[in-house]
Amino acid sequence: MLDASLHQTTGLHELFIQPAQHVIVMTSNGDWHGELPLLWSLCSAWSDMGYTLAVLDATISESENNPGLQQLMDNMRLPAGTGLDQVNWAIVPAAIGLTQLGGSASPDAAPTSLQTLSHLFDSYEIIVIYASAQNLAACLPDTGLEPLLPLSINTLSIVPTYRALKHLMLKGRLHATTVTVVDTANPMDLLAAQHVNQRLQDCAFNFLGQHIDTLTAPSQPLDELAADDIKTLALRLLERAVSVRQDTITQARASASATTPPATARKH
Amino acid sequence: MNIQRFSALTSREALAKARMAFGDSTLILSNRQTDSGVEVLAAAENSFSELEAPVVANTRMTAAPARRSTPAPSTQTQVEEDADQLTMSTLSFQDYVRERMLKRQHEEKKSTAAPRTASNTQRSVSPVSSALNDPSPSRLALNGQTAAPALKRPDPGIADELHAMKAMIEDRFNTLAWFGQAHQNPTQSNLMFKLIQAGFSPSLTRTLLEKMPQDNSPNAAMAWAADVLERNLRTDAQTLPLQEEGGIYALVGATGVGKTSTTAKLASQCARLHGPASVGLITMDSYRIGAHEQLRNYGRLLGVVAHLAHDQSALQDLLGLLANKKLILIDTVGIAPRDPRKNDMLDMLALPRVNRLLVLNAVSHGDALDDAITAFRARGIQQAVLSKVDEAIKIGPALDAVIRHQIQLRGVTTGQRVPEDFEAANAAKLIKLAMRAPGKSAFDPQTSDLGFFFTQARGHTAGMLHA
Repeated sequence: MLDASLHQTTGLHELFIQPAQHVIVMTSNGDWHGELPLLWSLCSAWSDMGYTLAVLDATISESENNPGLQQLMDNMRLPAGTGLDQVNWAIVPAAIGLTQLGGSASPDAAPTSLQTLSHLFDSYEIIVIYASAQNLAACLPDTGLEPLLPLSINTLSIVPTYRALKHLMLKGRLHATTVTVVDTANPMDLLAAQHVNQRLQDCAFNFLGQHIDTLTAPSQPLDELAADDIKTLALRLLERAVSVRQDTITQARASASATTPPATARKH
Repeated sequence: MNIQRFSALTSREALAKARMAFGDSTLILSNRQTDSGVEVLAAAENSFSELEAPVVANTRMTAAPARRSTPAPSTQTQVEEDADQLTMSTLSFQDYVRERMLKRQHEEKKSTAAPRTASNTQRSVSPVSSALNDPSPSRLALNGQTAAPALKRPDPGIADELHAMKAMIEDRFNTLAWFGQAHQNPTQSNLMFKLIQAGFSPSLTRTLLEKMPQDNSPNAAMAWAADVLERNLRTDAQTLPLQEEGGIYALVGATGVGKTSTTAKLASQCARLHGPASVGLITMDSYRIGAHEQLRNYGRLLGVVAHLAHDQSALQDLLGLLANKKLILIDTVGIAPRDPRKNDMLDMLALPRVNRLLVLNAVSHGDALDDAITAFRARGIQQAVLSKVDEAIKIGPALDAVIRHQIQLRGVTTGQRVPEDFEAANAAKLIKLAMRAPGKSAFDPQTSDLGFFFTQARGHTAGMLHA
């Protein structure tokens, strides 16, 4: 029992559980002031929880100077230092690569795209895809992903958000969850967020016949309560993430090798 | 005066013997039945002529007023009447003496019982109750009260106290009487010692022994006791185990009883059967440092996300999020049974379909287990998991508490390993484990100490045990 190689969960390791990767999608709607801090907060929360993660930023195109998903799919290794030194997660541009990935997979084999991604980033537990609604609906349709759609309490953001919601739903059969980013310390902002969420829910129900989940997240998770809210949101996204397990990765390897030679990204 | 005794089989023969001795002037003084027949006391008539004068004088003195109005009888008649009176007088005195002797014996018998009850009554009745029972004004006047109001309105508190004292005294006497009787029976005595040594409470032991058939051999008695305990230990043997049944379960209990480990074990068992996607994990323990991290680490190994809920609305939200899960386990903050915050925590769990599962540490003292079950059962908790059975020297106290409170055992944990050390609750196995011969301990009772256990025992569990 006191053998160094044994511990309380040795049996659990040997039991059956194969490591699963969680694929999470966040939609870019052009509101970088609200979206980027939220993405950063979520990634920090996952990282603090001990997860390793890779962010595929499909709002940025890959280039020779800034290689990303496209290069990985071309069986190239990413150069060292792809990520940022300050954080321990990888951030790679992925606009072209994601389009290629969507174009290579037939609609019937949509989950294969995720398996390919899973194989390319097999050393990461969480893969975050940050892309526009159009890109997501085109590249990852019918994957069961539930994109997170951030918006601000500005009434001008309601229409573009609803448009993105509708696009994801109708073109990609992806059921989005909206999250209104507010200053949670300000009661007026919270009231406004409630109003915005209600209007979005009403629109989705009246025009799309769907009920959507609407959440609220703090814009500045500086205090403990706001940090807890972000942590709760991060856990919720993990719960609703699409999990890709080792057994399905095996299939993905076969299909990926048939289409594009695999390459592997490594954590820094 | 010549008085003789004559014995014969019949009165006729005895009288004949007397006449033979004294002739026709025989005076029969007494006549009584004896074991050998009849005994006659007789004298010659002339013997009384010597006594005639003083007897007549005596008679005159006592019956003087009556004789003044009646004519004086003849001497012969007078002597016969006097002799008859003397005979009657002698017989009456014998009867009288006999009666007195009988009465004395009767009184002696009474007097042996009466002082005992009198002394008992005196001991059990306090001065206050004596004052209440004695309606004499002088006694009541000592308290500065009049007799009438005191008798009409006795203090209900004092009356309750007296009833309680009376009940206690009766209980003690009954217990002592029962214990004395049980102690004289070697089989009962042996079983009593083994049950107490195994950690079972005196109240459960007594209930068990009172229902035990009298003619059992020691081995049969032991088997009978084990059988009864086994039948009274409620488990989920007749239903599906937790991990197969599914549902929402919040694990509650005192600090350090193993709630988080038990949660992980149950989650693992369910994930093994139905896959990781079938399990939902939530912790409400935001108090203990690292509580969420601990559950999250288990969750990561299982491929299950461990959520954190700070309040009821967050919990409700998460339960909605995890609605498609087969088994949702909620780990809660450990709270002492008497901590007032326990109610706040249980209030948060008061949601539809949320079952509360009490985790009991088998290592704990019987009193602590009793306290925990009483405190949490008051909030409707009916199911429990017995943890750390492997660490317990005796699991008798834990099983005793579970039996007496009629809690259903849903499993036992037998070590630290996740998930191996979680087992279904097997009543036969647990009772066997409890009844095994433990090693010598300084805390074990001696046979001579058993009286103390039973005289101090409270909360008789009669009716709770189905023999």
